Amino acid sequence: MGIISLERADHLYWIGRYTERVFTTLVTFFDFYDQMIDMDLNAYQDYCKMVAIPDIYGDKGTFNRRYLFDQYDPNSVYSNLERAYDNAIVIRDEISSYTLAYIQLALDHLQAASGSAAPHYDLQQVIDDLHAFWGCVDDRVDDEEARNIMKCGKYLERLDLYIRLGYPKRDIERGYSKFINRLDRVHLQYHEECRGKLDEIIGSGSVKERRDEAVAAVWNFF
Amino acid sequence: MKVLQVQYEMRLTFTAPAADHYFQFRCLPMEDDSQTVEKLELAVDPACAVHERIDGFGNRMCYGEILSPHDSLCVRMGARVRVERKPVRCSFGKRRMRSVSIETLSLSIAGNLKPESEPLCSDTAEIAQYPLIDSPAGKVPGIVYAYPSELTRPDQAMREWLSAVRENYNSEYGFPEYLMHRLYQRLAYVQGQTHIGTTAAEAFALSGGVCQDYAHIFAAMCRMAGFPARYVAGMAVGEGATHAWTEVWQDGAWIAYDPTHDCVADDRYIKLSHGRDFIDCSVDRGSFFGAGGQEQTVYVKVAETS
Amino acid sequence: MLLDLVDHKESINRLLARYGVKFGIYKNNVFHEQLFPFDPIPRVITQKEFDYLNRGLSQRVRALNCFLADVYSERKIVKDGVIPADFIYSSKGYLPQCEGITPPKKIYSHISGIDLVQGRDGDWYILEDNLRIPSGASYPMIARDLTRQAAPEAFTRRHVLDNRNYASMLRETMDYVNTGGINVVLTPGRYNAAFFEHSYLAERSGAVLCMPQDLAVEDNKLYYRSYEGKKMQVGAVYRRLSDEYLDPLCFLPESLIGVPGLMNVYASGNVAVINAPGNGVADDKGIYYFVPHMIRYYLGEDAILKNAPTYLAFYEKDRSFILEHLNRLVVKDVSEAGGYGVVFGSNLSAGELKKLADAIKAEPRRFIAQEVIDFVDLMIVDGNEQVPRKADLRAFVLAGEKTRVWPSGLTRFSRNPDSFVVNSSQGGGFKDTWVLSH
Repeated sequence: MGIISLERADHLYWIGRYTERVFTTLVTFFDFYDQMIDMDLNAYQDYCKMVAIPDIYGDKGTFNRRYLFDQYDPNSVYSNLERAYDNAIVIRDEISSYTLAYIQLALDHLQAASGSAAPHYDLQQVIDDLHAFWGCVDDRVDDEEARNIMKCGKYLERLDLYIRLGYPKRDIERGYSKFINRLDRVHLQYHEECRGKLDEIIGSGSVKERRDEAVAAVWNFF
Repeated sequence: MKVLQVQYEMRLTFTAPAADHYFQFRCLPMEDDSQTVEKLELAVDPACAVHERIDGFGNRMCYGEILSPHDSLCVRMGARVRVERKPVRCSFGKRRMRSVSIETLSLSIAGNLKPESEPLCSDTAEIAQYPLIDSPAGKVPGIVYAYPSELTRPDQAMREWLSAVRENYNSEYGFPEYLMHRLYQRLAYVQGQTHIGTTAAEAFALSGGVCQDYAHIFAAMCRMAGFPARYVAGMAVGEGATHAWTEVWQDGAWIAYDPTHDCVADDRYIKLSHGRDFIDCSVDRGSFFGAGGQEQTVYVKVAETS
Repeated sequence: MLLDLVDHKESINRLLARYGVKFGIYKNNVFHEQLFPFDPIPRVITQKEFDYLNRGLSQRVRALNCFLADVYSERKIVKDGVIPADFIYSSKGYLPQCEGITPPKKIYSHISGIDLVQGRDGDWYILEDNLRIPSGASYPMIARDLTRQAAPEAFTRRHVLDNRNYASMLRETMDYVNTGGINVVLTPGRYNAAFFEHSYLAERSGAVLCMPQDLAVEDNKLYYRSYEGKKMQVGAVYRRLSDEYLDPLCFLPESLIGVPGLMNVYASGNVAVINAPGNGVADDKGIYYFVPHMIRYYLGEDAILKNAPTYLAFYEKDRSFILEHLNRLVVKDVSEAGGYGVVFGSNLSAGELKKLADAIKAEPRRFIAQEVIDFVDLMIVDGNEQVPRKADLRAFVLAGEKTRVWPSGLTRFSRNPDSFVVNSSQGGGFKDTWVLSH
């Protein structure tokens, strides 16, 4: 119908952000999990620092359990997925029941995996659901502007996590160009100076050196 | 018969700009059997489109919106109204109203207002068609004003007081008149102890309040006693704020009583609206977005012209 | 018969979970969403029986629409002494703010949910009318869709009328009264008991799901506002927000939700509001008693469908009957909704009966009493067996160019074997309702 209310634009943007947060943190989490099996038992502490969440966990076992599944920990993957659901359900008519179902399934699969001895294995299902969700978005969300707003959220979140987690330069460049590509097709208001700053830092390949500046520019972007 | 010059000014000032501001006013003199509006001016500042319609109670209501940020809203109404209420026998002396000096406000003039819908038919003729219901006062028409409302629902204390009054009633006056007189002795005019949401029962427990509370309590008592009664918002000759009184259905007509002054409302009263209680008659009502607070001032002046 | 569906209970419920077919409830002020338990054995209604229900229900809704138009204008039915003024003016649902407003095409109750039960004698009885915002159509609609996915073979030879046309019926209903502009479904938000339904009906009918803050009045018209400052006119609002929260300028001034000025736009004929504000006066439990009288008064016909035998405490003769037979009647407080305020005399102790009798004597207008109808049980699947439960039927009647009944309905059953209360907020489940095409 080609008209998106302020409220709806907000939900579209945040579905993008939260689904991507769950997706990228799960993928990254597996790397840290792998290290913690037998190499660095306290790798999770670095992880908390990098993504700027309070280390309320104490040991790797608690971290593995609470960070993934604890519905009362606002930083947990579960909480973030719930927020994605909260934003998605209110625009069912825009994204379709069919698409929405994949977030519901991801939640159900995440819950089912809690307490698993092999989370890496069981959580693959959640990642599959999120892939299916984004596939559905492309196929079933008819409004191009709505799709682009979702992707603005998705790629800004990805950029944020890549910068914080120290992803390679090439990944960051690619993430940023995907974001800008969507941004220029929507009517969201943003801060020009943040875009200028990111252009400069990413363009000059100095994200590692100017990490905090880059994180701040992403944070203040909209 | 009197010809009255009326001024109403309401100013709302915001401490931080307000936006998406919707307003709704019932500040125009009513046109009915006893009031003829000869001249009417209405101005809203900031300027905006003002619509008018007749609400569910038969009152004229103006409304509109100012969407862009603004620091204040001012509504000015000026009118010349010919008032000729049917003379009513009233057994006790009319109280003297405060006298005022006439001074005219300069009004900016808006285009001629015209209601977008026709008012309901003359209600006296209309009410005559209703089947009569049994009430303590005998048979009265079954109309909405025969029933309690949100702000006029009586409590036990009111019921008890009324039955005591009923027992002592002698037939010198009509019952509503007698009731008003007794109520006037029972209540004291006190400002500040009640607010616009105070119910009749609450004000009665406090033994007083302002004109709104008097009108509520009197309406509630009349309804309980079997007389349909309605709340009236309006203005009386003088200077200051808006006024409120009560109309009671008696012997096939609405009789206007001013319980605050213990008298019959005569040709020095201008009626703006009527309803079950204050909520139905709010002179101004609005809704806006804003970060700051608001301050409201209302100025009313009604003067007799020679 | 229908045994083939029993085996699919689990797979259908799994699909319902996938699509988030839930309803919300508040427990200790905290919002919870629950799956609405679905039983796979449908209620089956023959074509002949449906024709009868269709005639009876359409007739009832036509009369109720006449009544609403009359109540808010000339009130002939009161003046002619058919309904006492008391039942209009002391009803919480009567809104004098709606006096004199003529809704587009003069339709007040566009979507009516009429609750019925079938007695053991085979006769249908009307239990109550819901003319404000009846919910529930979405559940059998999506259940049918998913049952056909999970058990396609069950439908191959049974000739069941498709009920997924509810969305297009709803759309036609909105389009018919639309005054120019888009259709929207106005929801109070995510934390409403029926939010699933709001979002699903919006999706299926092609209306835009919106919250009050998405809408704004401008120059006596209603608009949907876009994030970049554009606006689109709204011609019909299927609102799932109750009257008192609709417009803070007209109803509750302290309401933070609602669209300020909406009632002015509506009163000016510039938008359709579905269902019309003020309909509560016609689905009041006290007014229920008078519906057969209305049918005679407005349509000059006899009521096709029966009311449950009802006594009004307001009438002295009925009151003494009620007081005499209190222990066998069901007493309803007309000011309560949702299965609350319903008391079965047979469940009360002598002391409780006395208390109830006193309450009736003190405020007769507040109570009606009905004979308890011994209605038929339907079987539900419980583990590996089938057990009987009390069940009612909410039929949906849509009034547009014509008044017609959706060939399906929400069949609700009670949670406990001894309970007659089938309200979902009290823990029951639901079934699909099949209308056969022959």
